[in-house]
Amino acid sequence: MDPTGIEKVIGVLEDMTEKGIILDFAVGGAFAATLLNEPIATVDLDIFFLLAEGGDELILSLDAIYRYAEENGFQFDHEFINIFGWLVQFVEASRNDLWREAIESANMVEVGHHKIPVIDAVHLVSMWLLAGRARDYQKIAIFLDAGLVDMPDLFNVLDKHNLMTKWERQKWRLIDDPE
Amino acid sequence: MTLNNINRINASISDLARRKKISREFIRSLTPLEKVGKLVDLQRQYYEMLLIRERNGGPAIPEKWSKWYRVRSGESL
Repeated sequence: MDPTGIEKVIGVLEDMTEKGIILDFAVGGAFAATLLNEPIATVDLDIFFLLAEGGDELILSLDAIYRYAEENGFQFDHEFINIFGWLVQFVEASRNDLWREAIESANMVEVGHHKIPVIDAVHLVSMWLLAGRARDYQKIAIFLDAGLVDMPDLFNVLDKHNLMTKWERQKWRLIDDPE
Repeated sequence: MTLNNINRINASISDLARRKKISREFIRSLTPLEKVGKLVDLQRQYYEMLLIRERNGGPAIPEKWSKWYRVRSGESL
């Protein structure tokens, strides 16, 4: 029983992958935080994805996704596609090394009868630190407080993506006793 | 403020923290699908809060939340 309709949304994402509309994807943002930890109010479902390659050149637009939406009767408006009552936002990730790595290292999470790739805690925290809005810092603090983040792994990722300086500057607001 | 009052306030804060911890532990123990159900509840509550705020002269409901309400109500985006 799935009163929220989320399993139908996952089915659509699987269909898009099977049809080659998107090459690979993973759930990110507050929805990922909900699956890994606890619900956080969010308006949309963020899908970080890599576009399928067409011949030798990468298709660098969302055209294929919007065409798929149109053909399947899903309305869209600006950044959102309405898939069975969920506002889904597709974020193309190939131009950001951290986002790409987050998709590639995502873990499968069972949601009802489906399995869906979800960005892991370390990469979510790194992405929130990169984004750096107040609500992103709140999510980092919640994840750290819940003990969901392997700190040596986090520091490896932050170091690799040149985020250690930002971490040092912001950690006072993320952990109770930064020293 | 008397020592009694301070002790009473501290006890209330401790009790609130204890109840919050129990509630969080319960939520975190749910299956992912159940958590999505709780997320939908939370979205409804959040929208209600935005609506009440707007009706009381506060800022207008953000456009993205209006879109959320429309699609959740089965209306067009």
